[in-house]
Amino acid sequence: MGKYIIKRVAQAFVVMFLVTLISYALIQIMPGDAAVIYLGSDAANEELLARTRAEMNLDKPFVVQWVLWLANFVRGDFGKSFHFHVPVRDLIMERLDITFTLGFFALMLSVVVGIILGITAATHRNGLWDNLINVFANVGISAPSFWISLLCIYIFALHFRILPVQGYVPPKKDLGEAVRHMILPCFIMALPSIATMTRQTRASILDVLNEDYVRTARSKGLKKNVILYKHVLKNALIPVLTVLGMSIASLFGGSVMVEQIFNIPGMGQLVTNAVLNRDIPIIQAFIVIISLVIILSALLVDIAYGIVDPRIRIAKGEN
Amino acid sequence: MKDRLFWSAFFAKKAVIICFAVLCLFVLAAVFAPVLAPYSPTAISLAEKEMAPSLKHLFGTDSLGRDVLSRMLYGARISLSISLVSVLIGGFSGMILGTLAGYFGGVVDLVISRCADALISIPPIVLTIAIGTALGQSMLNIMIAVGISSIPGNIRMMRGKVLSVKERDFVTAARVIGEENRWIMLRHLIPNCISPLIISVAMSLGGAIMAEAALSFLGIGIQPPNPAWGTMVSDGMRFLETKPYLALIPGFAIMVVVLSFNIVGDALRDALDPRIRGNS
Repeated sequence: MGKYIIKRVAQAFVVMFLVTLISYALIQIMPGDAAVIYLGSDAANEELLARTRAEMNLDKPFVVQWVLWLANFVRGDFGKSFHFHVPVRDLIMERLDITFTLGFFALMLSVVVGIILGITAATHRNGLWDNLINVFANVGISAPSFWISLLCIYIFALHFRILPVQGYVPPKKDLGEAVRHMILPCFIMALPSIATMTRQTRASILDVLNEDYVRTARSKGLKKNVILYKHVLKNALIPVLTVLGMSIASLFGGSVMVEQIFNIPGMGQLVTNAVLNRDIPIIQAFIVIISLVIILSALLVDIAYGIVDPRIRIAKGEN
Repeated sequence: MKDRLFWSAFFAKKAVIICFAVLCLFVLAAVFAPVLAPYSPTAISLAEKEMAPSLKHLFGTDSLGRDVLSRMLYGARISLSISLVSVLIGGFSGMILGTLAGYFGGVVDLVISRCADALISIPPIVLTIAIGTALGQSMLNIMIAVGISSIPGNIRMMRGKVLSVKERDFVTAARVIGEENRWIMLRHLIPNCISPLIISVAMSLGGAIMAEAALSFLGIGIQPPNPAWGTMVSDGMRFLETKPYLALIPGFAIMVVVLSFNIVGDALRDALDPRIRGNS
């Protein structure tokens, strides 16, 4: 097990390293000079331009630029925003907790709802519930989140007026309002994950139901629910773990869209505005932070996988 | 005989027939947009702005008096072309890189596979946005940005397939008679490994349409006045309370097309699956 964990951690390190390289390369593939974009109309001043280029290390070779950037990044200096001309770190730190709170509740929602729906669909195979849940899962995967958001705003906020249209209230200020404002964004962020989680849970329960030991359990006269919860679920939920890891990526991707639509001052909104201002440093920092979260969770999922399923750690440790 | 089996497996479900019909309509709309559209998609007529759906304007008009139906038809054109080209970019690059990684192994494999891992750990929408922003907004750049996010999955798939095929006797034979690596890859490996890749490329069309719509919705995709479904949704958002159909109709169209692509893609995979297993 130790060998397996060390191997996985090393791999995660390499991948993280490459993510920073990809994210730094954005500056390179951008047409035009980053210093000119940073200075705006001041770029006409050649002395200032040269000084800024030197400050941003743009006068050095690419690899050196990247190493210097990475060294700063590790120390918490994410560079300066092209548009706001303030450190990117401050901008992100102000918004990090909002996005993470939203992401956390969306993740909880997708795990609970996804697994419950998956179990329901699998136990009612080909019945009405199964079909309804299947339609829901297909829509959840195919519906653009911005469209579902608008539809939900229209139905719940404008038509029935039971939820606020948009905005964000800090939980410390008014917990009730904060929750009311979070319901729609959380649900919409979670929707694609709920859908994939549902499908995976259903598929793996149906897989496990075909196993010999389930037939044995059934033939010795165990009750249906005992078989389901004691024998089937334990094994069926292992592949669901992988989906959980992938869900984190889609959740954070979804935050970009959802925060923009619901006007939530989180990282996602910061990024959308950065896109419109071509503010690359903010996007770079966002990519690295989000990928760090995703790589760490994939690592945890893999290690958890190894712990719950001995076959995997043996197979992977030997490779 | 085999073909008939394929078609009956493909159309086994009613949903697939409906979705296939939707896709046919979508492609027809895109191809024949100039013939079908009753008005120009960019003609502004402030006297006729924000009209409700009527016989004259089936889907109404937007805030600049442009005919929504005409814009939707031309928007279908843009969606289709961007998604087609981008999945081809993603499929082709994935094919080449995956084959190289699988065939040469060693350092080449290590570098390509780890880069694919790195690309996978960035959420696709974020990657698309980042590349789109860095490259700037043009049709080709959007295609590239959308295409890149499908490369890592294709690399993994192609690499896995090449790894299994390269051990087969005909590849060894080719190597023994001294064929060049380039030829072995092009003539023996790629043709024998490509079917799952083609399926996965077809299955990613829906995702590409969604990605393009998301980019346009955020304002970094297709630039106005060109009609794109995503842009139409974001334009219509401001009138959600008074004229909900302006945002909801194009959004619904995106959903239906993406859903149809996903369902037809799944059906295609399921129908082809036994044949692939039978052949190999």
